[in-house]
Amino acid sequence: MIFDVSALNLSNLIYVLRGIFWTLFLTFVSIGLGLILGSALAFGEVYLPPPFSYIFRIIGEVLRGVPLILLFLILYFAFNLGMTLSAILGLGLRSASYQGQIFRSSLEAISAGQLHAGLSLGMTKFQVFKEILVPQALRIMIPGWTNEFITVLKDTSIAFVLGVMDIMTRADFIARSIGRYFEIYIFIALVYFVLVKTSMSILNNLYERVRIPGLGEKR
Amino acid sequence: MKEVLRVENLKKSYHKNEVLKGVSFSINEGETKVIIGPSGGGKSTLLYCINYLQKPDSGEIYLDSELITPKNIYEARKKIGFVFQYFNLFMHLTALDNVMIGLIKVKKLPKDEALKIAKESLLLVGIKEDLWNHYPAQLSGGQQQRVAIARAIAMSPRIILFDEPTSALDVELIGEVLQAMKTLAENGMTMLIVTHELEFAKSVAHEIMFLESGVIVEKGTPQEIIEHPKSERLKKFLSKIAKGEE
Repeated sequence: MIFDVSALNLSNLIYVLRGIFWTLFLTFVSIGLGLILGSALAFGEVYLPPPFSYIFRIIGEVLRGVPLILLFLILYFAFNLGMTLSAILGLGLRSASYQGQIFRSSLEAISAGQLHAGLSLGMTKFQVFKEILVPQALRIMIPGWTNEFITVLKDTSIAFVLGVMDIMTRADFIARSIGRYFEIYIFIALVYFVLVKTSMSILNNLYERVRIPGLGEKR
Repeated sequence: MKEVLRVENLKKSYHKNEVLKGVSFSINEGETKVIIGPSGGGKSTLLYCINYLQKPDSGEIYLDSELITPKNIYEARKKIGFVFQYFNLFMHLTALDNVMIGLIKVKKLPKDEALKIAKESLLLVGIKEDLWNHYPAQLSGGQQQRVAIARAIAMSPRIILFDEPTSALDVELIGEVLQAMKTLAENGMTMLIVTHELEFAKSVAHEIMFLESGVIVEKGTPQEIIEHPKSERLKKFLSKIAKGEE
């Protein structure tokens, strides 16, 4: 296989790189949506009484059980939601099911004893939640959440089946038109790698900055 | 002497298992009372019911002659300190912040005032300045439990409940926690303590209550309870403790 550098000329690269906007837009909006819906799922599962908590658990399990590409196609063809909305909802809903898991396990990692301690000082349940639970859960969840972030970042490429003009779709388009797949695919593989590495180092940095000795670490 | 806490005919069941079968007693200001008894006898449940961390099924609890109800429980808890078996410090806060959080969030004190009280409380239990900015995971068990005691006393409660405060500690760390509690007793703090430390009970308790199977079987001065137990059940329990089986 010959690597033809001329396939990577400036105009082709710029055409592909303009897709970064959509790649990042889909990532951030879906992660945000997943964070909101995911915390709702987690709270529903942890704090609601049995018949209702099951409903939240089942929603999460169903979303985790469906391949992402199928979720896209269902939203697009069965619900007629349009390209962008299907992409955002598909990524967002699936991410919600995983972020919910991450948030739930973080909440459960905090001992009931600390909640008792908060209440015994005279705090209200809301104060215990806000002052004790959330600050700890948020810290504990960062490493797991970092993984979820890069998963969503990479899986925006699957929205290519919907025709969203992200770097994957654009790369595929150029590759077809010039008949050189290898060079273009290697190039966007590099782009994804750089995006993933950058996000990871930013999030790891954040974790180091807010990390508290002994919190969320196994003794 | 002024009565601080009165418990009347307190009952609590889990499923069909009746853990407290009608417990009554009272504590006056400045008194230290100790509860002893076998595991599963209802000691911890009794403490947890007093400040409604577990809701009693029936019976009354009076704090300074006022009946505690689900409505006034948040007010009541401010006046009832609680020290737990497993310390239960807030893991994301330093020793100093653990003591300050109740003063700031619950008592709404200004920060400088809260800081002053927190420092005094920590010094009282022997936690010196070099440890104030340590997180719980950076402290030994004995230090953590003393911070937990400081957290309770900083709120200037009317009474502090201790739930086996030394039973999760390594032997060599028990002494420092008991010493801190002794200091409180000498300062006139009203305390209700569940413990297996009989020597300690002897030296600080005004009264010892023997709780078994959900009832107070026997109560009296440390002399009466430890040296001259009347009931067979208490004798059996004391000999078990002496053998290190409880």
